[in-house]
Amino acid sequence: MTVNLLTSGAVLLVTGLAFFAYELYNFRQSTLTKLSSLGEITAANSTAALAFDDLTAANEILAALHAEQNIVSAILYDTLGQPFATYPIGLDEAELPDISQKIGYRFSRGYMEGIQPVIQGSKSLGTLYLRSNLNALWERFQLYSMVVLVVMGFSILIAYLLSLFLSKSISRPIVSLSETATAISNRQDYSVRAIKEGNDELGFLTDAFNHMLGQIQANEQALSRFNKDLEKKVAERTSALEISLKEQKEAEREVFEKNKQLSQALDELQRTKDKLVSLNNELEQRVEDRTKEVNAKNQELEKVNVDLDNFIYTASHDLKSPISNLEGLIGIVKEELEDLAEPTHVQFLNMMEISIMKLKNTIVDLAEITKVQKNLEDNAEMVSFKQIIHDVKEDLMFNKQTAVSIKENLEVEEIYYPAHGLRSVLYNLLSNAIKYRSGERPVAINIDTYQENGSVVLVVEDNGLGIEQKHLPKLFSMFKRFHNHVDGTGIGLYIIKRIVENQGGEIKYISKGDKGSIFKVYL
Amino acid sequence: MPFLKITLLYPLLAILLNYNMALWYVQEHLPRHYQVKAAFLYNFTQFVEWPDNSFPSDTTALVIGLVGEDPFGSFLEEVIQGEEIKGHPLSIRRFEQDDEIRDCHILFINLLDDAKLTKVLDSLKGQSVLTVGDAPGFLEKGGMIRFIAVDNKIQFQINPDASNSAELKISSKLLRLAQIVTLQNP
Repeated sequence: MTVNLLTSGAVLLVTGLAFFAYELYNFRQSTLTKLSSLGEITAANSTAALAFDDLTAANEILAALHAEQNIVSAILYDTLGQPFATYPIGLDEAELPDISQKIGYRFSRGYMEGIQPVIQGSKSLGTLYLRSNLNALWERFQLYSMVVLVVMGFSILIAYLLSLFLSKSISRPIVSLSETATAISNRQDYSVRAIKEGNDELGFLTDAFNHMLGQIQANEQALSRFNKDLEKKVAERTSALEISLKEQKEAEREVFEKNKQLSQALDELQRTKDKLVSLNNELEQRVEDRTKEVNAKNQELEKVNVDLDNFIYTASHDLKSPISNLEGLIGIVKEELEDLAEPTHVQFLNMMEISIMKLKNTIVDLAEITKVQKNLEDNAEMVSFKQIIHDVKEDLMFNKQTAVSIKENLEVEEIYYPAHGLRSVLYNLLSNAIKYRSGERPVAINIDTYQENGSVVLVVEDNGLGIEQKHLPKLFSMFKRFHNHVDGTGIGLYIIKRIVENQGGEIKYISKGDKGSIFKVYL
Repeated sequence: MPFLKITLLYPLLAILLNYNMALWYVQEHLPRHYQVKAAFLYNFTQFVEWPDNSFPSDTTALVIGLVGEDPFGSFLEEVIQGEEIKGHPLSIRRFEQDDEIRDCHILFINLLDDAKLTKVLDSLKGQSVLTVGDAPGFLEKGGMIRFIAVDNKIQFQINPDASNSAELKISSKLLRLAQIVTLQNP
């Protein structure tokens, strides 16, 4: 309360003083302005008097200043600066002020004074001096001070009374309300209620406050209930999470184990792989070595082969001429001794001729073989089976007298093959079929050609003696004969085999027991 | 403040100085009352308004005319030297008695003979000329301002009717100082 009063008092004081000062200042200015106006008017009126040196008129004009009580003195000076007229009349000349000061109105030494030039048109006729006291100002000052003091005192009294009254009906309830609010906030006890005092707006505020408290209390309770629920849920959720976390850890551990195993297995595999790789390399190396060996051996063998072929070729070739010689010589001897020789000698000579013939045939066969082996003079061309068979038949018919029926079933009529080789094959097969015929039946030969799996197959079937099982392994060997009752060198099948195999084919024997043979040639 | 000095104080001083010099000179040669009258003549120009048609242009001179014997010597010249009224420079013109008087604004009639006086005054009817004189009966004869001496001071009488009918306006400040004379119309 005291504070309030002091504050109000201070404010009033300051305001009062401010207005006071402002008013005084204003008043000062306005008094000066008034004096200035008076001066100007007086000066304007005095022009003629000064110009025409009319003292009476001048005095009259100055006397009019009597109306303004605060004017102490006024003096009209002429153009020379000499005093001409004064107010009041009879002013002591010695005390007259110095008008060489500045023109204008101002406060000076406890007076207001002004120096005003008297001008008519553009000509200056003299100067007017005015002096006024400050009584007006003082009076005003006193008046204001009193007013301010009275008003202030009165205001403070009113303020005091008002605050006495207000505190009872306004600030006390408000203070009490705020105290209640603070207490509630501090203790967090929302069951407290403020006491309602009176039925006015403050009472209404108190009601509203209490109502709000009720709401807050209800909210609080709801909130704490909700909170408890939440905590329970959180606890449940946490334990559930913990369990699942544990399980997850288990699973992780398993996975980790499995991982370890896998990586171990991988390592083993890697090692095995490495081993395999190294084994592989070894094997490859060995194979390389072996291949090299084999190649070397091959080359050797080939060389040997070539040597052998050359040997046979050379031998057969070299042998041909001595044998021919022998043949010729024996012929000559036979002729020479035709009549002279004894029948036994002729027989011996005949036997010699036959042996030589056989030898010659053997040589020729050998030569054939070597030719075949060397693949000489025999390039593939389109050959007609029919033609070849015809040629071979001519050869055979020429040599033999026996009745031979040959049936041909040529599905494939032509083949791209070495003509000489094919001829040899057919000649040998047919010659064999005829040579090793059965005495019980006439020779019947079937010659078939057809396609089988992209190859041309030639089948020669006869109804001869056939070949016994035990001889089959050596069937196609060189110089192997299984029947001695006919001539033969035993190299026919071998030649056929060589020819056919040289062209990338093969020959097979299919037995008909003792009813004949089937030779299947894949060309 | 310097502004005030230039516009007021210096002219003031100039005037004062001139005045002083003139005064010194005149004191040697002229009766004092003619000094005053010369000054008054000049002063009248400040308190009288002439109609516009008196001045063909803004710089036409305001002419102070003299007829009769010139009593002022060179004093009048000195008084008006360098002065101007509302932009009109001042000049002096002297007329002989028989001259036709025109193109002046103030006329000082220094004639004592009534007949001559009347003749001159009549000839000025219709012109806006301020007639000044000091002969007795000046105003009765139609003059406008008459100098009189009262208690050793020069004062003047004015007939405002005369000045009004010449379309001259005399300032109240001047009228106030003067004895106003109104003539009974015969």
